[in-house]
Amino acid sequence: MKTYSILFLISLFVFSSCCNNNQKDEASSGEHTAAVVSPSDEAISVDVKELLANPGEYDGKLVAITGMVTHVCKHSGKRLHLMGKDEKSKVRVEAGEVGKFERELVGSDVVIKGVFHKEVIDEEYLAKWAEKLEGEGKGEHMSHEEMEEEQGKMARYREMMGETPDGKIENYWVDAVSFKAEKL
Amino acid sequence: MKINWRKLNNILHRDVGYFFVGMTIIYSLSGIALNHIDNWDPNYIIKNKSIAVDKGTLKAQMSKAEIDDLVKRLGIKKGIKNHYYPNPNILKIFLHGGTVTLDLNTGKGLLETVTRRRVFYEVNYLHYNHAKSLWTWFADIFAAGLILLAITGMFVLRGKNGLKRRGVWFVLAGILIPLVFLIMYL
Repeated sequence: MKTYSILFLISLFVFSSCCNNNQKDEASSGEHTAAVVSPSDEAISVDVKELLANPGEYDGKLVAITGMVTHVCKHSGKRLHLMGKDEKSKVRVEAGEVGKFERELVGSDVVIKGVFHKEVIDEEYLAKWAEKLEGEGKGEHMSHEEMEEEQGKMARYREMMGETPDGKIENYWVDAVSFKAEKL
Repeated sequence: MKINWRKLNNILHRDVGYFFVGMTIIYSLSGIALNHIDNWDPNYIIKNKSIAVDKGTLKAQMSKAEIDDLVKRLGIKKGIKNHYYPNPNILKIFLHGGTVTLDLNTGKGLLETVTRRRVFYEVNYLHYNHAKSLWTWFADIFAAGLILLAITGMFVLRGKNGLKRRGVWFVLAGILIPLVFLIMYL
């Protein structure tokens, strides 16, 4: 009886230590992320075409874009492509705080509220990326396959950059805060 | 007051066990489904069927009425959501529960239907924590409950079937197997 009591207490101690350590790690790593914007904040209504025509004007801003969903990432549902009225302009939307996009959204008209981002990829960007990869490789934080995948992405970006007159490409996406599917 | 630890252990094991019967089944079903994610889509049943229409009836910029008519001629009963042209030679029609893709030059195409897997879709939704907010807390409590069940389970029985004799071998085997896989594959 005494042996079992001691074993039971040890087990409880181990369990509670696990939980306490997790809380400590979370606090010290500062990984708790609060929402920068909320669905109730006022968003700038804009069409996909206008957004992509003037990305600098909307970079970092909360926008509300209406469009048709042409694709939802089949594996994770964490991403979709939204097409504007002109059927040519498309923007990538990351699920972000929404969590996941259902596959049934494909083909639906939606209004997505989110923060628009513009990222310029140039030689400086690639150099910083390469430096970071080198660090990850030396610290063995990345597997060989992951390293190859990242290097493959860099090579594709470099190829795309070679086709632009100024050697730069721009990446746009929206981090969704909320969305509403409109009924036809 | 002297605490009867064995009695407390058994009460906890019994009542926590009863409480989490449903959650254990939910997570186990979903775990099996997700474990084989390379072999099947755990959330949807996807069917593909080749289709063909007279290419003369297809054109760029078809109206909604023409699309309706086309879908009827294909014998598709699902409602239409939208349509667009991903490129000048391809027409894509979005249905409620599927997609039709047609080559304007040949009239040939594909009908893809997508249906949720009943039960699996729902349990996966919970297991993946898509509900978020309070569900996250309840799922964490369930995880803690499973640890409690594992620990208390070791002390329920005494004698020849207890932890000191028969039980210890099963416990060791249950720990060794995942360790071996970790050593082999990590």
